[in-house]
Amino acid sequence: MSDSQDFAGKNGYVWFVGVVEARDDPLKLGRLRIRIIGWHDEDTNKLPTEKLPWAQISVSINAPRIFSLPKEGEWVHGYFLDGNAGQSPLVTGLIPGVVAKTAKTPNGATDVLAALEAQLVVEQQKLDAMLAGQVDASQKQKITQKNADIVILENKLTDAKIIRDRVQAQFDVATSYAKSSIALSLDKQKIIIADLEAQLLAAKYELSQLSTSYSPKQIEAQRKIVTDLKDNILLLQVKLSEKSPYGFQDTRPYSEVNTGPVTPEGVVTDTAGLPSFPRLAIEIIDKTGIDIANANKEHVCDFSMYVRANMAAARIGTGQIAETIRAAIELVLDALAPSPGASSIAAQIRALAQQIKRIADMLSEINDFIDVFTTYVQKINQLIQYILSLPEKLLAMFKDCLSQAYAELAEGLRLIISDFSGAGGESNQFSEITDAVKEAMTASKSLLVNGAKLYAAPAKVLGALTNPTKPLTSAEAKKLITGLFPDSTEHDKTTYTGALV
Amino acid sequence: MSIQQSTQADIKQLTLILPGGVKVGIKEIFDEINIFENVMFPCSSGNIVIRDAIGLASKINFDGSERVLIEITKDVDSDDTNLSPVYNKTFVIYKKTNRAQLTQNSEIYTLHFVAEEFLLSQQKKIRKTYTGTYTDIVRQILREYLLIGDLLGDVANIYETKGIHTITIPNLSPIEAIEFITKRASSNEGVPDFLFWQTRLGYNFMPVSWIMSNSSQYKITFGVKNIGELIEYDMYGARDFKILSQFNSAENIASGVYAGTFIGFDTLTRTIQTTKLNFDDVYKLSSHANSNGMNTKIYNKENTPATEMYDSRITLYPFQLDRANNAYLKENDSESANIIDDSHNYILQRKSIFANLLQKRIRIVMPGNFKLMAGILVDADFPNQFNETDKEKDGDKSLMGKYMILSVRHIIRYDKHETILEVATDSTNYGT
Repeated sequence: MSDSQDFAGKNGYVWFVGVVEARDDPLKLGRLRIRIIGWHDEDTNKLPTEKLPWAQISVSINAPRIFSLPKEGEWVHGYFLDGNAGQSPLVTGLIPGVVAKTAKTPNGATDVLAALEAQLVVEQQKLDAMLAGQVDASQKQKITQKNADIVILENKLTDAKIIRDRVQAQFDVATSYAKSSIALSLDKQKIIIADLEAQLLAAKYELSQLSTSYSPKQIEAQRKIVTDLKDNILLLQVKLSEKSPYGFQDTRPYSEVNTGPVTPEGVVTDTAGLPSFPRLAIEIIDKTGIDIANANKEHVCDFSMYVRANMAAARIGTGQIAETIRAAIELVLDALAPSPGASSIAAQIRALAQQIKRIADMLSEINDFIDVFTTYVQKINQLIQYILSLPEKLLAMFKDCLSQAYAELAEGLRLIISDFSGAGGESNQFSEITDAVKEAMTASKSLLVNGAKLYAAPAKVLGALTNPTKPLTSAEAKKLITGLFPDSTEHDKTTYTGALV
Repeated sequence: MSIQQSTQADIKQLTLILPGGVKVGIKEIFDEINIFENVMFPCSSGNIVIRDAIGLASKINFDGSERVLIEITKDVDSDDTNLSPVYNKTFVIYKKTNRAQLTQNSEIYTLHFVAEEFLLSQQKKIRKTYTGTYTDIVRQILREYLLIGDLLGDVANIYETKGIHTITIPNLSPIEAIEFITKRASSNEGVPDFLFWQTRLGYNFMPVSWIMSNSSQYKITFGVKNIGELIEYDMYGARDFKILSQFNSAENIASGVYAGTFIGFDTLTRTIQTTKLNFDDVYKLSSHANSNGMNTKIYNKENTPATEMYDSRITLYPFQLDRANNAYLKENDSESANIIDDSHNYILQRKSIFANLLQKRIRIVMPGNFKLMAGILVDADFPNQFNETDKEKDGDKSLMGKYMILSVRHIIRYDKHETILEVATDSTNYGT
């Protein structure tokens, strides 16, 4: 195999073990900067992280679209695509191990900010020096070096000319036969002299460029560096003060966001003496492969089924509650309003004073049912509010489930209030009950209290349904809901929106 | 001592320098000095055979801490160092071998020496990333690790390479790192034929094609020596020669001299590029010593010329050329897009270029001459062995032409100084 060294794959499997130092791959391909043990200097001053070559990664074919990058400090292994040359590392796997040192995740934005601020100090100093007409140390060193170069070149040139003159003298006195040989030396010496003269000229020109003062253009360029740095710092500070819209704490600028999941600041990721794997599922997935995979999902079916099952159970429960409440109210009506008039009813109530305690107890029981329903509605609304707070794409995902849930709620409400609601709003029958209750208050204070609760029940339920956490007008509630669920009417079984208005 | 013959030399100094600076002259007890230069070896080296009748070996504990100072001249009567350069270098002694008893009072042994930088290099490793032209990187390594710089001395010729590169030296000694870079470096014409070696003037980092494109510095003749003429003429009269190899088509085919294929793949841009190159594609990129290239009209059993048999050598290697054209890379990671490793260049071409160069090699015995250095071009008219009357009149046309000196061995004894050259050429004056 004479060609094995120049044929990838035949030139040996050169493997390595390395430590991840960075994963902020600008190409978002999950590339890692790894310090390969033995191959790369362990001194970060000699070989800074940003000078480490990017290593591509290979991903398991079992889950090619969902992967989580190793984080900084993780140990990985792989091989070089170019064999012994070692310029193209490819990471194939992660090596779990016992953590040597407890570590918390750094705050990326804070680190970047600190670095920018440090850089600003340096650049500002340079600008100040330029404005003051000073030359920095490196420039001084360059000038000194260039002067030394010129002296050396001048000496070399002098020597070369002396040699040329000697050869010329020999040439002048040499025999014709010897002349051709000496001419070669003479020509070469002339070339050397010409070359040295050219070098000298170039060195003097370079020296003239190494001016001891700066041009307005150079100062302007430096001023721009400082201004840009200040702008970047300001932007980063603003970004740091912003709160994540998703409830997470990753406040880094987008340019600094890693491709891999990132653990929130300060979370203990590695505990000394404990295995490094498996790790806690507490990472930020924003702008990661996982995030992209989630965004591409059209519907979370398992969650949808869960919602549907709960809604079905709630419907049953709501129906039972409604039926019970209606039966109880009908019982009250039977008891309070047989006929023929209100005065007669009042008389009968008084006549039935001995039964009031029993009725009051009954009303109390009904109100308990209403309280249960109200609580249930509040919980449903908390769920709705939570869903509404989700990102747009996630909200769209729940849209179908949510419209169904809302329809079920409306159905439950209709069961309760249908017998009391009509085209004209509050029914006369209900007014009579109210009056009756008012008359009954003279007979029993507890009857009054419980009766008033009963009267307020539909409004209470509606209030809980539309706005359990903060004040909202019914018009706002309608707008909100119809705006979010424009096609929800196909699930509607009632005209509940009218009731909301 | 005045030099009367071209095969003489005057040893001005041959001194051992012991730890602490103690100097011991060995001029009177040496038997032979050999000094080697080779374009394929980074450092000069050599040995001294000592015929020791003063018990030096029992007094000095040779342990690698000794240096040897060698100062030899050809002409003590003239101060003209250009015509008769003085060989003046200090080496480190790293090995002692072949110690044997000669008589009851004398013994013989060999001290091996090498340039100081060679041992210094072995004691260091580079594991860092450099960005710049390969020339800049070589200069930096020479200066940082081997204390060699244009202003520090010991740099003869360093030529510019093509392109900006980022390279991570994979745990190599400084000299290994320079050789690693040398193998990847291309001239401005895109020819990957750089070499790194040391001569008496210093270190060289140069492309073969540049050497070949220059006029020859010396004419080597094989005629009858002109007794009584100037020594300078006699110094370029060859004493003997031996043809080491003239052509090897089997090796040429295997090395891809006639034709070859490079398959490059880039996992980042998902690019595969197949490049087919034949002799003419590579040959025309640079200048050559002589007017004609080698004969490539070699037909096989299928009556296909060797230059069309691209499967003769197939190389496969990661390559990055397409990165410069990738808009996504340019926008998001300009460094990855702009700084590329031109493996498509050096992986296929370098081996074929050197196989072509090394196929015609000749060893020539010359009068001792320090002007003959590895890496320079000489013109040689080889005699026609079949012309009994005048061998010089009709030279051997198959051999005559310009050659690059691959290696030099100076053999110096009390009464003799010979320089053995090994020369090679990439072309011929003989029409094909």
